[in-house]
Amino acid sequence: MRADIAVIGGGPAGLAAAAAARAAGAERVLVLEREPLAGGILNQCIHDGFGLVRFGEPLTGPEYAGRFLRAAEERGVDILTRTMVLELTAERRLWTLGPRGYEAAAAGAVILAMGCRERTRGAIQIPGARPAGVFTAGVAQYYLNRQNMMIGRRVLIVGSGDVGLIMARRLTLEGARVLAVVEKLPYAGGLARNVVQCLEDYDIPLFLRHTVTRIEGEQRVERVTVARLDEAGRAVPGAERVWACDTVVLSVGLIPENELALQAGAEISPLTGGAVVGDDLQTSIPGVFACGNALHVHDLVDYVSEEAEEAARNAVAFIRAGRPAAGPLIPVRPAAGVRYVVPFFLRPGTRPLISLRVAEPMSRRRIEVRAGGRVLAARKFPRLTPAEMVRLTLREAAPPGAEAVEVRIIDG
Amino acid sequence: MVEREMRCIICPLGCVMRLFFDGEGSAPLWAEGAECAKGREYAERELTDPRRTLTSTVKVRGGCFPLVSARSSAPLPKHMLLPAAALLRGVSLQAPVAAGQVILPDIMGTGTALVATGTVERALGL
Repeated sequence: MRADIAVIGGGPAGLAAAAAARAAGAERVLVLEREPLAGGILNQCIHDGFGLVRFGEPLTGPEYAGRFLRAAEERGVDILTRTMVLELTAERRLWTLGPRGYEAAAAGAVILAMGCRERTRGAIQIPGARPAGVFTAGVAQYYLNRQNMMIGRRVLIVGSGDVGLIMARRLTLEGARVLAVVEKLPYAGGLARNVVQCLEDYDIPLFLRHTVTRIEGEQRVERVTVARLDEAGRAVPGAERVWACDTVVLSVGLIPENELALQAGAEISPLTGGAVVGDDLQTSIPGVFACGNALHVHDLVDYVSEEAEEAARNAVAFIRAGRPAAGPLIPVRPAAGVRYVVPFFLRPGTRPLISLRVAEPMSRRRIEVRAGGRVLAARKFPRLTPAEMVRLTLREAAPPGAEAVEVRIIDG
Repeated sequence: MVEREMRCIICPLGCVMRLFFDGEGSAPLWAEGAECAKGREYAERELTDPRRTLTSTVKVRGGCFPLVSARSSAPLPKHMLLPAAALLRGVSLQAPVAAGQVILPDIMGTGTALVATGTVERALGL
């Protein structure tokens, strides 16, 4: 197989990137998707609220994915489902396994759009027995919404990420009793609207600064111990409560899926878990671009689509030029209170959109992007929370000779 | 003057609104803190007739997937969400099902339809 652009992953990022690559003039655009149905995680996100930014209406996940799937098909994108990329090299060669067998492919440019996966019980080290009945929220969602399988009757949810909140409501609607959501931090991990419409609507309590300290059960989960945490995050002795339940659902964070990027030798950021990219969303490997949740975990799919389209336009520019744009690179540095910033460096003269997340909730702050004594972008925010991504487009490029671009949070 | 806080759920911004009332049970006189006009609209509705869109799944017979996703064509009164979801557990369709297809024309006398949001093709039998 030979492609101008090979897109790894047929979720919202991959589909948007592929359609945009065709629109920008790429001839043969290939999407490689390991599931039987393109659309990615949106196919199991049956709730609505997707597309408010992009389409001005609340679509369900399958509806949002459907729009991008149709757009990709209408533009003549070649979507290979049930096809898994087993290997990717820095020379942009891919080895795939699918219905046609084991095949090699060569691409002019590669777009990484593999999405992310969930952190599991192992990642948070809950002590106790290891009975059946412990699920990550996304797996629970897959069982309920795709496979028609109920996962339990009395459920405790650990972590308050959006998928966990959505599953609290979903499990309740399907007849389960959701006892509580426990969150170790002093604030919810998911969007405020999901706390209201998924928990408060159904009288499901949210215990902040609480965590699970023990899971018990022979074959199946029988009991879970929840402890209150002090300011330092340590369990308060005696402040424990035992919940009788048969199911634990974990919503404790997402990690970009980057085995292929690592294998190809792309530099990965310890801050985001995604590839280190420049303003053009190009990784440290020339001609390999990254976008969507494989690059950094987004809050809204609307922004995933937009970022993927940007990566696609840059990938098409790369195959036209045949080599990456040369020039010194200016590093982007997150200052105190900023957890990460994407991109990680800029080429002089560029004015990209930058995405960032703050480290903790704060109110009445101003975010400034500065370089060489100039303010490249600034905006005031009444509230900032780690659950929400902040996006700013630079008004001006970094001045010549600037050594770094700093992104900082100031009062007011 | 009575004051109350409400979180808008129309969009991901999730504005915290402060509503001011003449007294208990009256309509809000004014609202502040919302970034757009939809916030005020939502607050008034939420106080008098709270509604939510129901999203769920419906069983499919003979399809390549066992379920199709579905939504109410308009928001339903909040107190009807649990009974409506329970009702849907007893509904099943024959494949194929196309996105946009009406599954139930009228959910429990509300006049609101249940519409498929996904597509399920017929299973390829042997």
